[in-house]
Amino acid sequence: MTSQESTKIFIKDPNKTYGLMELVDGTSPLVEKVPEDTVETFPHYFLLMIICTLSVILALFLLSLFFDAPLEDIANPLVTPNPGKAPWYFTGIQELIHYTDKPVIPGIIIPLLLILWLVSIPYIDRKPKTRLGTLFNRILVGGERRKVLILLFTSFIVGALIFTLIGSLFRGANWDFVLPWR
Amino acid sequence: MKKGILQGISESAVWRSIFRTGIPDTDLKKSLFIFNSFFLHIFPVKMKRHGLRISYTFCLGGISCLLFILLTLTGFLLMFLYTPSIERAYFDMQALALVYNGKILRNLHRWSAHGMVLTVFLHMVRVFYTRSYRPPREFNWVIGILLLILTLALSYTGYLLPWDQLAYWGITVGTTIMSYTPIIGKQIRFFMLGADEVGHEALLRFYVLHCVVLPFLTALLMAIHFWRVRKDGGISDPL
Ligand code: HEM
Repeated sequence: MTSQESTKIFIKDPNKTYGLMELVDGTSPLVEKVPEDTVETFPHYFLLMIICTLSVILALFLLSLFFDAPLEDIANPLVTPNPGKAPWYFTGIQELIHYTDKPVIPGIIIPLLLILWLVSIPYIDRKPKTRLGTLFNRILVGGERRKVLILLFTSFIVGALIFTLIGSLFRGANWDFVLPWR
Repeated sequence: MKKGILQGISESAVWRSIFRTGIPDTDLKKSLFIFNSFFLHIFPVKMKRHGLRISYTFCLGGISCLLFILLTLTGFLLMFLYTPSIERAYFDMQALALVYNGKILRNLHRWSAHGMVLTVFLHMVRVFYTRSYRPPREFNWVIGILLLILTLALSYTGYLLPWDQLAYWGITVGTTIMSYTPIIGKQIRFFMLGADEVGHEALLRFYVLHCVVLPFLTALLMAIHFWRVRKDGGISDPL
């Protein structure tokens, strides 16, 4: 519960010489605070954490039992594989580079701008105080429901997903389009 | 009343000297159980009920942290079996298949690394859609972005170490992209590789970054990240 909410519930009236007391059923003393909706970390959270930890470890062991990490031939600078691919989290960028003859744009400028934009999201999406701020907020965030920001972020996620998928799975020799199941 | 074995142990002098608290059966003892433990004291004694809802956090931050711990542990073991030199690295990887459970060790490390890239990214997506970056949590989002970059850097530097074709050309492609930077592109690539091409210098650089520098930075930032989650009032309230 935020402090704003608790001041709303406990209105302080300077003209009153009495205060509001209440008996609340609970196991800990709460003074000048509204009843909170909390639970003990032990055992509630630890149970969740232990179950989650064990499930992840089990899943990883099963994965590692059935799928081996790849190990190709020893590195050889004289034999260039076709296609040569970056790790999967960078194949989206590789895919974008394929569309242009100015690789600096998708390779350097777009990633840098994306990082800058991501970092600045909390500083863009705040309660505007001035009229200019309200205008900027409208354009960059889209008001209290942040329609613009959600649209931009969702496009970023979907775009990254699509280009990464195409780059990793649907590109073969000479970066030609291939179907992975063929 | 007859005491149970557990209670007997938890009241013994040796147990009490190590753990201080007995069986946590009252509110006070449940609090002390966490408060008095070096490993648990980063957790609050009580948590908001809604912060425990799986449908809010999907445990993605926690799973990222777990994967980092698993990667550190399997990484330590792999370091005993690996030499960062172009004469030996590849054959050390092959020899892993002969070491007892060596293959599983490598697989665990590899799949956890891919998994961590995924969970950290999804964690960011969750934080965005729940709008949890709002004040006072702005800076923790920034630390998060740094952690995302560090996670990618860790994964990328590890990619070269097996010294197979996949590694060699993956790093060649990636560092070529870096060299597209205007003006200082060539210098950046040289700085990364320690030479004009991927070779022994690059392997050593990536090894030191992967096993020492980047894990240290990541652990440090994770500590700050968790500290701030608590200082900012725990998990954010629902939208
Ligand atoms: C190594 C990577 C990371 C680790 C281990 C990590 C871990 C965690 C954990 C354990 C929490 C507690 C809540 C939860 O589990 O969701 C959390 C919360 C948070 N994380 Fe991360 N995180 C990482 C990366 C990121 C990234 C990439 C971002 C965003 C760009 C981010 C932003 C935040 C924010 C703003 C919170 C507070 C959320 C709230 O109060 O609801 N973190 N992080």
